[in-house]
Amino acid sequence: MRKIMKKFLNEQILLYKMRTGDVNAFGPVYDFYHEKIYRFVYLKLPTRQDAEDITADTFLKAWQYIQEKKPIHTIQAFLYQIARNLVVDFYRTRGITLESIDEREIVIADRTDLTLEEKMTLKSDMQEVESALRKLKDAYREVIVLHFLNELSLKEVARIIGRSPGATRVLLHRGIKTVKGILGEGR
Amino acid sequence: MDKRVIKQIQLLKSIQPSREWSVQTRDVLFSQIRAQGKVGVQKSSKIACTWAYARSTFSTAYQYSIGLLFERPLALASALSVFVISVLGAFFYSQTSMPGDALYAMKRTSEGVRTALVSPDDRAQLEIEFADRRMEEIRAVSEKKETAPEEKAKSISGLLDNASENFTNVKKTLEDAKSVSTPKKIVDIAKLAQAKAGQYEKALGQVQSADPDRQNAVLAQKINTALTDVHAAESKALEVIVDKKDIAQMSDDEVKSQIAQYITQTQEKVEKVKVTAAGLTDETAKAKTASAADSAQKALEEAKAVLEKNEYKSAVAKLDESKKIIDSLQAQSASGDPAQEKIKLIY
Repeated sequence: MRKIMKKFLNEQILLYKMRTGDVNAFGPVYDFYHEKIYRFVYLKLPTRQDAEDITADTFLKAWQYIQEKKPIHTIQAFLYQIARNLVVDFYRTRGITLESIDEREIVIADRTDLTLEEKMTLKSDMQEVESALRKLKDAYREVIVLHFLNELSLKEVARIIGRSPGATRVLLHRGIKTVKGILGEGR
Repeated sequence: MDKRVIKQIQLLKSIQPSREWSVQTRDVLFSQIRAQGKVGVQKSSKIACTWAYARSTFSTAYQYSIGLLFERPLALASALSVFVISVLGAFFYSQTSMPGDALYAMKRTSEGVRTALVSPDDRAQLEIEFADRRMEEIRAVSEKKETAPEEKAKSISGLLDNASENFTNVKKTLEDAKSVSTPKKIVDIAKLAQAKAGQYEKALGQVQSADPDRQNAVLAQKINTALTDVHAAESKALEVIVDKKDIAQMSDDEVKSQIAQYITQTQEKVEKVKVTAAGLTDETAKAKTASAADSAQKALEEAKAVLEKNEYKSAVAKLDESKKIIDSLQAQSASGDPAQEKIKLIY
């Protein structure tokens, strides 16, 4: 409980500083969240460049909204919601679908602990799973990414997607089941 | 839940943006935020932007209407509401319109209004914002499957002209430092221009890749002009940063390293020119290309030499000379002269 309160207070201090125009306070927000936001939108978008663009736009918009003194409960939920909305706008203006993409190379974190062969295997396994996730309904994919990749609790995921924790749990179960089916078909 | 499947999914935790992108985006983002300052927000929420635009444009009508409201309140209020809402709505939606859409003209008009109203401090950032939009529009037009190639090329040519204008205006702002209120601001603009230049070069390269043999001479020339303008803005930005490295909070080593990086990038391009020269069949074109490669290489060697002596301004000047030689070669190749053997864009 203390940890949660401390995190909440630190966030409120950061928000207060940002609202007064303190750009330096935005640094920790970018540093902590940009990879998570990138990972979140990456699986929603056709190309890596689109994911990069939307990630950058998310933070720019976030700063602007903070300056406009819009009410923000938590920075985390706020950022994810902006990212979600930007992805929706992206598809609305382009009229393309997630399926109409070319194969692209996954960029993975530097893994100096792996041999070249192990890295190739990892990439191959990742591509298989990524392909499976892209075939999912967006609702399933979203909860899987937020919970298993970005390590948010079900309650936090529920807040972001605007559903109850119970409904979110159901989505998660169905999503995993569907992924299992897709991966099983490929073998 | 199936632990094996979850473990497989969790492999994707390794998905990350490249470190280079993360660092570069951080710099660009913070430069943009700082350049915005506390006065006005460039990409403010659509509603705030729309309201500011409507107020400035219709302020007289608004004041007149308020007076009339007391005489025939209901009818006037209804008519005004419909009018204002439809205009605001049109403006609102025009901001995401693309070339060929009904509201695209409104988008461009609103950009003109913003340019006229913006302060000198914010002008360069606005130009960069508009350049971003043009590049986005070029991408959207390129991806439209239902549009005929000739029509696409025509649209893209027009957009490239506009983007070139934006790049040139950014360069002008960097040249005319006195028009900007503080040296810090000009440094922020320079950093932003530097970061964007790489993105624009890549985007223009992608546009050219749709016509690698440059069958459409007009489009090839436009792409080349845009690239030349991007490079000019980038070079100017580097000059500004070298000149004001203390304000940019860069050590000598950092400045040196940055110039060295640009030299390396340009060296890669020179190598490509050399390889291209070797592959040409037309003897005149071959000789010309090889000569350009030699001149560009010579300028680069000179840049490296003066950089070693910590003569940063001279190094930047020599680097710029090398880049201009390559740009000029590309321009000649794109000139549309049938006798000129085409060299593929090397970017």
